[in-house]
Amino acid sequence: MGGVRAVTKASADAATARAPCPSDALFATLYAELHRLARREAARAGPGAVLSATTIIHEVYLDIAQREALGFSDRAHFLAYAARAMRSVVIDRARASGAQKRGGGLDITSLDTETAESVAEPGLLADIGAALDELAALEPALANVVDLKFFCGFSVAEIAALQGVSERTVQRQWEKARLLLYRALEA
Amino acid sequence: MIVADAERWKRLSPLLDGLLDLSAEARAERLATMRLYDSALAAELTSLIADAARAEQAQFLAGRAELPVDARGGAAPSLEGTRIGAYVLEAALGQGGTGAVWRARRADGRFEGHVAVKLLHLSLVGRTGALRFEREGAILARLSHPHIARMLDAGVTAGGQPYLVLELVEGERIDHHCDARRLRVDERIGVFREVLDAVAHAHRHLVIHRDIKPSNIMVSADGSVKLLDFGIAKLLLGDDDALATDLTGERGGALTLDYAAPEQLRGEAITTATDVYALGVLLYQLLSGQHPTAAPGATPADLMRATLDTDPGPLSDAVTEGHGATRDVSRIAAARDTSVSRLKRELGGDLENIVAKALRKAPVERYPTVDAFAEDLRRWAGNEPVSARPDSLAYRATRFVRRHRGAVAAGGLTIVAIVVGLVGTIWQAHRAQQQSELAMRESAIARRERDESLQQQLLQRGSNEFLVLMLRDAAGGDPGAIRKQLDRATVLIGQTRFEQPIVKVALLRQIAGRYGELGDMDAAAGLIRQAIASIAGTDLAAPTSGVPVNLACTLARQLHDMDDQQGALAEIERADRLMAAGARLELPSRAECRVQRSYVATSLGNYSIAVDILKDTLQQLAAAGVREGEQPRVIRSALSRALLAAGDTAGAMAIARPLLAESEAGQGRESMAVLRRSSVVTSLARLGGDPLAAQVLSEADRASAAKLLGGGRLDAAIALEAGRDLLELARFKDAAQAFAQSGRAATQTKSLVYLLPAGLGETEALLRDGQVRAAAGRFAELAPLREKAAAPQRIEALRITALLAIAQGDDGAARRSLDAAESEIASAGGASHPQAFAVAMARGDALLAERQADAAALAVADRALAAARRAALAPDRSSDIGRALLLRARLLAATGRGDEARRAAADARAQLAPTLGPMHPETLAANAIAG
Repeated sequence: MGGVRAVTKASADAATARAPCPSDALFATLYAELHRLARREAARAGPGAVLSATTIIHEVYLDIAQREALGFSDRAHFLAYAARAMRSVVIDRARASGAQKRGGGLDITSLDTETAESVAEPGLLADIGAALDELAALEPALANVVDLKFFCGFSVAEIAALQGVSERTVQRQWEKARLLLYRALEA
Repeated sequence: MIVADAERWKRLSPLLDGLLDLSAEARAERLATMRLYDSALAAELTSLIADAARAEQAQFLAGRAELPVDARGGAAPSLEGTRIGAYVLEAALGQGGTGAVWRARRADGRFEGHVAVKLLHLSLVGRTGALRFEREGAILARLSHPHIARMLDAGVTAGGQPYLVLELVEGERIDHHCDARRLRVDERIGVFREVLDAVAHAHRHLVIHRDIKPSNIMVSADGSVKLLDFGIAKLLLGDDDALATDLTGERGGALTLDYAAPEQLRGEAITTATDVYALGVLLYQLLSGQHPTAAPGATPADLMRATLDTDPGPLSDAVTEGHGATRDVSRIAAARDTSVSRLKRELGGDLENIVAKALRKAPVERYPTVDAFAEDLRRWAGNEPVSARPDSLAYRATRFVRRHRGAVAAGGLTIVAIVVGLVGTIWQAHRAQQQSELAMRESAIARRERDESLQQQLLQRGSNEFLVLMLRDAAGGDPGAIRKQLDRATVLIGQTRFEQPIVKVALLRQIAGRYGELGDMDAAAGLIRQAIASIAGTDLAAPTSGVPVNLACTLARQLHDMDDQQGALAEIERADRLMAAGARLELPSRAECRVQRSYVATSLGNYSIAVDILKDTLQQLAAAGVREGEQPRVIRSALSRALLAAGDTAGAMAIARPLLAESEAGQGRESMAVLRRSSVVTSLARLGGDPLAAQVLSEADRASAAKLLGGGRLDAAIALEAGRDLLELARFKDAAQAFAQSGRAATQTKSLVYLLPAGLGETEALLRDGQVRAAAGRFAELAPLREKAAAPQRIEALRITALLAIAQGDDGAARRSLDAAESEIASAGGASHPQAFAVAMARGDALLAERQADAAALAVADRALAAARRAALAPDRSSDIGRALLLRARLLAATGRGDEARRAAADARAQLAPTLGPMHPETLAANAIAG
């Protein structure tokens, strides 16, 4: 089986040229809030530390979910939204820091070998983001699982608990989403 | 495009789910089977599975994305041009403690001016339910006063973003305005009295501001005052939120400590006196340029302590030179167009007493109303005597003793000094304890108040808004919590006297519906009986009233679900009598009653009655112009099920398939009603002779149901269907498991109609799996249910009895049971009876076991064949036709008619392979005979 060549040719210019997210009031507020929390975490952790998207999104989520007035379905809906916003935060921050590091240079990586590194590549992340937008239009639940698992760092068990579905269901959604994204990026 | 064909994906996605669940070998087997009847589909699925494996092997997305530290992040998506309610956002005005503020204009151009739209910070979202938010927003929107900035609208966007639409006020903060224009003391008091006027107006409308501070009071260019954010603090924080938690947390700035009254910090009741205190602080600052209790730059903790314990210094002392290092008293005096000594004189005397009275720690000692406050200022301005008295020595002494009670009692100045020094420490310990007590007390009070206010609502509005309020918390949540809410609601209704009995009936019905959704039919039926009892002797029980009819039909539905068909029928008949006696019922309610009647008829085996009723009801609705919408769909769904039960597969399919397509297009698959419709199609695929297709469909149904129900819960009907499909496919162990699951789900949700079918299915699956003793044991457990079973299940039980007897070698018992079953069938439709095929096949098994293969035996096979042909959806592809042909082949082989047997077996094989799979035992058996 041949290596899949990651399509990471996107320059910083091309990456930033793409309109990032829906223009929706709730989304914008969430986006700003996640950034604010990320900044605060970064300040707290000091230079060189790794930020945890999971911690940040948990914080926002718990803050909301604790409040009784939110019914379960509202919470799941909210979480889906927050995870979508987190994806944009991750991609935008990767883009910004990538541009800083490499002066807008480009990288080609193979998904086979350097998975951990390559996924942090802003270009690839942006492509995944674009493919996810399409996936969300097709089957929102699938895109949501990717947002939660890959971009927010939740485990399958956590996602199942948060959404009130079985782990098996989440696992299936994850596998389906991943294979579709893989196909899309391979093409 | 992520997939080439979205419609195709909808078909593939559930199939993929089923495949991903399997082991590699089982998956290959399933794909091989699928290839037999849809090779294109199988190829697509194979390719998808291969890609899934490659993605897995490449560890694609295996880790998690990193969140880079050293990035400022992109700009938030601009909301310019976004529509919020009736407004379009134009430009960001600023970011406040409670959210972003935008200038906006009306989208429809109905009026020219601009408004301010406040997009509230998300951590405030959940605090208040959307409903409460909008309701309180509506109250505030009615507040109209020249000095109050109007709230025009409050709501939550479809996306869940709460927002406020406010009158756009341009101007500057009151304190900046006063200083910039070097307003004199009397001029400042003039401006302040406008503020009082506005607050008094709001108080008369029972709205407390709760967050009065300079940044909430604007003075426009023409000098008129506007108060902002009236009542919004309550809107955001709710009644019982202790202010302190919001001040110390991340959301600091949502409210300001400087102007908080002691009772706000202590989490005590907030009244109009709370606003009086904040107004006192404001006036103190406007006049003296100082905070009454805290030094500049005080920490929040200092500020809280000062607010609670430090008596404000006399107003005139605040402008004493050298009083504090950071104060620039001469600058303060200059901003008031005066000298320090003149200012000090002006602020002494009556004015000092007025401000002190507004700033008393105890709310009852402050001005009782804002009007009284304003009146004293009016008198001051007119040089009349004021009501406020100077703090007496006695008053100060009392306060001192109150604060240091322990120390004073012990006497001795030294101890007092030590205690005063330790006051901070003691205070903290004391506060911690006080907080926990408060928290407990508050939650109890809050609960009681909530119950009381709910009762108020019940009485006043006479609507079911209360339930909406109460139950939306519970929507989709943990069933235990929902149950508790429902129990509480039931008790509340029991305790409440209703002026309008119909309100009680409506509430009881709603709650009964919710219990029904939880599967607690006992409770649901109990509430409906309570509702029936509650209308006795009222207008609602009059002969023309439709209410008793409605209730009888509702009760019938619950009894039907509890499998008390006779009880259900009695209620239906009662409803019919009431209608015959002149009870008037709207068409939709009448139609609903008819649907219940059809359910009961179907359960009793009176299929033609059920079908006639439903067709008639559809016609009535159509005659009234009701062709679209959910009710006709519900009836068509019931009709498809009645036809299915009656064995008219083609007729049922002609309704079920377009209905499902319509429903899916309208609602997606994510609703139980749609799943039930899907399940009918699944059943029809099986009964129509294609169990393999049915099984694939039922897997998808099962997956959707599990997703919908969550928490690993199952749906009894869907699991039952899965069991039947698996049974046909000779996957006996899986079938037994599915039936057992169905039984458990039926017990849990008290959907008792499924209990006996699931038990009988499990018995047959165990039996066919060779577990005769386990099957007999399971069957014996069903005895009490079998005894009260209606005709269809009675026949099914007789068939299973026969199969058990054959397996146990008791041919006589088998014969007797089959005789009984056949006579029941003969008396109810005969050859066209929906169970004729299954019973004929069982008879065939018995004959084979007895090695009887005479002409009478062949007639049994022909009977089965005729029944199978009637039900088959495709005459060349039906497992039932195949099985009837196989029976014939076996009987022929037993009598030595080899050639005929081979031909029949070959025909059987052609029918069986595509519908049951090439490796199915019956396909193999046909193969063996055909040679």
